[in-house]
Amino acid sequence: MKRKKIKLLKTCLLFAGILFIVGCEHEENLTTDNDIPGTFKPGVFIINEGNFGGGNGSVSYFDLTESKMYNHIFQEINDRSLGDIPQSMFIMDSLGFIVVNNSAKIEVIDMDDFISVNTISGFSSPRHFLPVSDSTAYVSDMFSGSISVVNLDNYTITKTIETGMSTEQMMKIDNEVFIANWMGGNKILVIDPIIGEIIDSIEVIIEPNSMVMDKNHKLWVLCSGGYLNEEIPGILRIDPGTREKEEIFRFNKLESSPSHLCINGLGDTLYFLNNGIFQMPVSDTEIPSEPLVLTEKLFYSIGIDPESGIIYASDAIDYQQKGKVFRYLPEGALRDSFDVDIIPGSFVFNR
Amino acid sequence: MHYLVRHKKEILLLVYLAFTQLPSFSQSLKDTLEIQEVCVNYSSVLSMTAYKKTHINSSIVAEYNTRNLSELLGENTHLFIKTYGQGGLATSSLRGTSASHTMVTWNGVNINSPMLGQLDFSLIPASFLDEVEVFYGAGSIRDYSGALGGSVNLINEPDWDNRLNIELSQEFGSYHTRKSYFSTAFGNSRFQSQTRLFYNASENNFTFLNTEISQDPVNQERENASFSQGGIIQEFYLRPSSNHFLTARLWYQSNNRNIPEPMVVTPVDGNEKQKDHFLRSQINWKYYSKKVTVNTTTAWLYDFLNYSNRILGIDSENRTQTITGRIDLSYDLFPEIKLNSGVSGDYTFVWTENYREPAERKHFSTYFSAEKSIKPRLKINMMARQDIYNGEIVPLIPSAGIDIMLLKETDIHFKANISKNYRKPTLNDQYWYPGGNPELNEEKGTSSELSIDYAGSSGGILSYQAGVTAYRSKIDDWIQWQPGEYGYWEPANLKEVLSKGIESFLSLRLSLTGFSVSFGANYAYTSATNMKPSGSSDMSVNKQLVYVPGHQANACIKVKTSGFMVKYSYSYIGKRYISSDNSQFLPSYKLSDLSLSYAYKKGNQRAELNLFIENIWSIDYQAIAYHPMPGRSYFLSIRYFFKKDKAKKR
Repeated sequence: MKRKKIKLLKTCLLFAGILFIVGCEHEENLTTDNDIPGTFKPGVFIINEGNFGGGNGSVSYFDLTESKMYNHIFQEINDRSLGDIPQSMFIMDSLGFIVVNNSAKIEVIDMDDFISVNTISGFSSPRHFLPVSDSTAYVSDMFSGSISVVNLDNYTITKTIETGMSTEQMMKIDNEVFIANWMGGNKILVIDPIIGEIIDSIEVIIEPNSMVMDKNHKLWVLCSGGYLNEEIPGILRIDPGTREKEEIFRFNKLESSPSHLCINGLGDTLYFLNNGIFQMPVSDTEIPSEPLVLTEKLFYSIGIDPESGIIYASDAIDYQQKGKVFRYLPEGALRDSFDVDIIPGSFVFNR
Repeated sequence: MHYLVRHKKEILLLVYLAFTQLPSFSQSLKDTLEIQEVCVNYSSVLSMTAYKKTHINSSIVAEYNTRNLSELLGENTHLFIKTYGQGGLATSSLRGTSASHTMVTWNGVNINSPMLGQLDFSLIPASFLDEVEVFYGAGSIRDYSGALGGSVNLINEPDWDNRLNIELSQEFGSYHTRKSYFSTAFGNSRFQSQTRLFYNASENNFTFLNTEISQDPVNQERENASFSQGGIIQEFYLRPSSNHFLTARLWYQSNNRNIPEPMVVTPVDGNEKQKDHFLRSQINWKYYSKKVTVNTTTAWLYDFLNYSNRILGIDSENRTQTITGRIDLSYDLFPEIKLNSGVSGDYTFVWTENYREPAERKHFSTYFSAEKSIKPRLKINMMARQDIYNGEIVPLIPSAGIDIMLLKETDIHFKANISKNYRKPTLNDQYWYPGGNPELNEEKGTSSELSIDYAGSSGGILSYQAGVTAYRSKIDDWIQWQPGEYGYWEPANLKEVLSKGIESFLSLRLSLTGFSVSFGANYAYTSATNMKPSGSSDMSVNKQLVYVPGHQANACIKVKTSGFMVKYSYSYIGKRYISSDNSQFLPSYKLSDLSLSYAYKKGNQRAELNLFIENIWSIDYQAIAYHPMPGRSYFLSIRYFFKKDKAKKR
């Protein structure tokens, strides 16, 4: 009996030992495409937000000449993380400005080699970057209730313009800056960049989330109607000169949450997301009832190539894995798709 | 515009309050059992021998007196603990499940947050516990349904031999950490009172290498990671006669913490904070007769949580209250048949600005079980539990198990069990505004388990225990939050998770006069994969769930001589994927701790000096992506004990 016991114990020990050895697993390296693009034009930058607090935001680059997707280009070139929730990117001549929302900073990129040449910090919750002159730029902010004015010579915040409300997308039209008061708001603020003050505001529908200019010099504003469906969503056409609301197009469902108003390069056709991709000529008199593209996917973001008119739409899938970019022809036929990174949020075309 | 940041406020709350449900580790050294005069613990009377259980006895718990439950479980069980570091949120993952699948009970009463369905292990000081038992998988249905991963029961017990006991301890450690503890117990063989108090605080401002903010890594001091916790637990035990046993317990605790940013985010001084306090009380009456045991418990739990974030303008207050009552009966029909039955009711009420209106839940549960010894070496167990939530009947939960002693004179057991289980969505899943969905289905679990356990001793100086368990469990309608059609995050019955694995443990103890060596080791292999695609592009199918290590192990060796003790513990956490398509992961790490102590005893008094060195090889690692962990840390403590027991009969 005693011998049996010892045998048993030995067996157990052996088993435990084997399991321990199995524990020393093999670890392969992160499978990233290690080559980096030779040039950054012509191409499309895809800003992948990553997970909130996850620090895994990244930039993908689609080379239009090679038709090839390069992922994690910021990390590969600069040998460090981009940060938490990159939100938007603006290309100004030879420089790119990547607004990293939760890291509260802007990375200034040399567009020839994508090397970060500077970091602008001191923001609260920055969203978008817009140059208003050769030496100054505005940065909108979700929570600070102000616009930060950045000096582009030394990359510091020189002053802030109090708005008292959340600010989002910005557009410079003629000599005025139009700023959407998106989160919890229903206004378009108008700032005179020379005096740096709010000179007017236009009341729209709750939560204007995106805006574009058309070929007729009209401003189009898409409003979601609010996070909690406070109001029926709609699209407004505004004359930026007189600041008059010329048309209000309403959606037919209170629960709809339309977003991402875009326009093609010709400035004659609008696109937006509303549980499918919708196309609307600027001459239309009502919102189309049928989408141009409807799939089982819930698209996260879209962008329109200003030259080819090709529609870029992203699918974040489960928000915890590499997202996908689908390309559709202007008429809505699927062309191809590419893997990008976690939560592909915006498209920036470098033509 | 982008759901994620657009709804930053809500998401942050959700991430903070709910998404910490991502998975978490650990294992136990079974020391010699201390036989007590009467071994009465909390409520239940079922033995559940066919189900895997780890019991951490009081001598092991006592070694963790200045540490918390997450460290105790992490080093002594097969649980995976997912922690943000000292003072930060710590949740568990059992067999690849999420934090809300582990139920924590305090002497049999569920203390998981009804909003989140989970508990922060960092808020439970080990000094407030006497023993801990962990049920893996289906064993948890003894007390409650819904713990699809398993359950952890925190036990407080009286020592009837005690007459007067005083304990004082003070610890100072790295990063301005200080921990104070006081306890006193007095009474006789019919009445015992125990009072315990603790206060822990730390600046937690360790230095770490930040590799993410610039091309060359820079040394940075961790900011916004300070915390303080303080609490009291009072227990009264009364034994008016040998068959009546009354218990009353009250636990109050207040916790404050700053929440540090991930290292990719520039810290903003004191931006994100969590304050919470809770009051937990319970009264238990137990009656024994020759054939019948009656056990009744009533409990009242109150929880307050304030989460604030200055930049985002969040200042959210959440209050929950639960009243519980339960009766368990056990009846020995024949010497070989034991019948058990019980009924319990919980009433939960939640006030929060994150719901449209206060939410309530009425939960009734009843069970019946029979345990029969067919032969002296063969035992079978059948159980059925029926739950009703707000008047709505959940399918019946059946379970069956078998325990066979394989050899006549050797303590080697073969055990097997099979079970169903259901978990109702949490109140956040149902009522969070916006997104919460009262129509969500319950999560459905099916699990089976096979174990071989062996215990023995030789020559009275060597004792050993070893065991291997294999399990398979499937959870359908797994709930996950995701942005939906209307632009906000909402929960859905999205996944189908298959979890399979092997767990093994070994413990050895050699005792000679004035000298003992003990060794313990645990290993777990976990394969937890999603089986159901959310769409044609979904690459998460058949991939390991995020933050579930495939391999984890811990081992500990302890040498004791009269007065001196040296303990070296080691843990290995395998790589953990952090994206559901397994394209990104955190590398594995190995941590080692060293503890040295010297005790001086004179009469009824004892003094102890302890030096604890954490992460002795100063390994640079991350348990959670971009959250740095401290390198080598030192903690020096001094403890004083006065203990007077009843006079020993000669």
